[in-house]
Amino acid sequence: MSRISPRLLTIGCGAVYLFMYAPLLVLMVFSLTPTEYGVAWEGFTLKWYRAVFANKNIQDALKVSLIVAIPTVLISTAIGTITAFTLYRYKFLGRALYQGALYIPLVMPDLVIGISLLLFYSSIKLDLGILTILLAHISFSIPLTTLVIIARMQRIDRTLEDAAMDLGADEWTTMWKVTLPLLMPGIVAAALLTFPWSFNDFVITFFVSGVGSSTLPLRVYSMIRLGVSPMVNALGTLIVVVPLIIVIIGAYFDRRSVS
Amino acid sequence: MNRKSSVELRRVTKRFGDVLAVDDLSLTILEGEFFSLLGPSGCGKTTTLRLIGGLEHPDDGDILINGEVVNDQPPYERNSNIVFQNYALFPHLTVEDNIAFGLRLKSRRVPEPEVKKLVEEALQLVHLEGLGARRPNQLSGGQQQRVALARALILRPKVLLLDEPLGALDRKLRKAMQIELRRIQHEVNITFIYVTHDQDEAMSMSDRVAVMRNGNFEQIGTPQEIFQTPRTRFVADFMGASNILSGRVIAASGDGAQRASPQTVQIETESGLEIVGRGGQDMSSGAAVEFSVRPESIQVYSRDWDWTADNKFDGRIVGKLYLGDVTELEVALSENIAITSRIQSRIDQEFGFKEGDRVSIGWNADDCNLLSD
Repeated sequence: MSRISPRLLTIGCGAVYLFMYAPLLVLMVFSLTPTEYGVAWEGFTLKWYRAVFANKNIQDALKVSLIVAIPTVLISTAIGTITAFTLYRYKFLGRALYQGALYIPLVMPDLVIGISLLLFYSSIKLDLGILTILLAHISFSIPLTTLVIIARMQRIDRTLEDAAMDLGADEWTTMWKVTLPLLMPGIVAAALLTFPWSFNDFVITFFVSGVGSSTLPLRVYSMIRLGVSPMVNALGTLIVVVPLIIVIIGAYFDRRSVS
Repeated sequence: MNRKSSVELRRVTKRFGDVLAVDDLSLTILEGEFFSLLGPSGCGKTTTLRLIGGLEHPDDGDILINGEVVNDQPPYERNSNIVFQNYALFPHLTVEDNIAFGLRLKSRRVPEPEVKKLVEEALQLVHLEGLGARRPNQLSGGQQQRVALARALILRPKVLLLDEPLGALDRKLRKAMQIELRRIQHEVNITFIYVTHDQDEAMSMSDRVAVMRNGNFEQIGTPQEIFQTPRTRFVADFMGASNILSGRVIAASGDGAQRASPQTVQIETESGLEIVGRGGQDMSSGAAVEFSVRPESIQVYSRDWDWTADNKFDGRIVGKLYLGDVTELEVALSENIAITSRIQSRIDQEFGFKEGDRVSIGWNADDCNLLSD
């Protein structure tokens, strides 16, 4: 008999998910127990979470992360929309090259991007700080937003724009009343995917941040260097759970845009 | 009646790269006319429609709407509206907002109460009362089609351009919509230009039909003219007159003397058949001619039946196709000549024709249609 039993599939699938999520579960579990060192369950507590929320350094780092992430989302989504529009709608010399070049930052090692940005900023004598982090995040987010929006654009029926123009709408009105509303699920999805993309970045940010401009991941890293505190577990859990919620919302919008 | 021209094409040419989609077309469509562009896919009919609507611009020639050259006008400045093949309804808007789309544009400045009233009237015109709040994807194909129609008609264009609007509907609904379209056209009295590849559709609705092929007009005329007297082999074939006989004139009435019109001629086909035909003028012995004969003009009887026809031959049934009310018989007259006949299924059943039967077939000289080009 060559039939694959559904039970076998279920077990295999479960094993894969366990492999992926067990480490995370361990982290979450130990964020809820008072054990200072070692790995043993000694009862439930929220004290590490309280410690996280009381920690001024973490608050400052979170502030920096948000100051970077929110403008990154807004600016890279706007630029991504315009880039997608140009690449998809207009035929010009080197269009394929431009479109292909979008994939390079996505596959290039973060280390290389980080080093090259650092070199670039010091060569134009730009002081490292929040501004350099922001510029770096925008630049590595644009390929993501552009590709997500192009994917949505490919699903829009071009005759809808013909129809709008035929009914009396000029190019601008057609864009506002037809193209952009139809593109909106893709734009929202791009924005919601960019947020964790920026918020979670460590390697590139590490290179382009200066004194006093640590983002949350950088802060966590420096905390670990001084010894693993269960507070890091609690913070780690928060960092995983909050963006996860955002990604789920993003996926929901993207799915809705298909139907 | 001396009607004004609504749409006029003057030597219009459109190329897409190396492809000549529309080749030097000239045409005048009258106000209030129901005009069809009929042809197989790729013949340039949709391109012609898009040229009139302004979604394409001609490489050469002029397009006039109401006597005004509109070559350089974008679609949103033209007094024409299109009903698209896939309806192109805006999925993010309700039926009502779809229909009101054109009226609500700033350039038109229609006050909102007026918009509401006109939308209500448009919904009534296409029998969609009460469905205004739905989304397009909650409607059936036929209903979507009506929304597309209402959305275009509400702007009271001088010309309505319809691009195979019934193509996606099932047969029964298509028939009902044909009648409906004709009714609406009478009611609104707007010029309709209708693109289709379905000759029945073109026949049943149009005042005039242009048969297109390779970006050219093969023939323009009333449905009756196109159907009964196709001028070219292509039109004859497209209209289902599948019997085409070509040969040389061996005798013509009034040969050498005064000629009657239409002429009666005797021709010998390439396959050696002698046929009497009627049509045309100025033919003399030796001229090459082509005739088409519609299958329903060809009668088939059993050999022992007593009857006469101008052209009568013995043959053998080599194929039979039951089509419901009619039955198509393929009758071989010799090795290399077969004639298609379409007879009432009732008659077929009376005779009990079957493949291999020896029969006599025939048609009259008047049923021969001379192909002039």
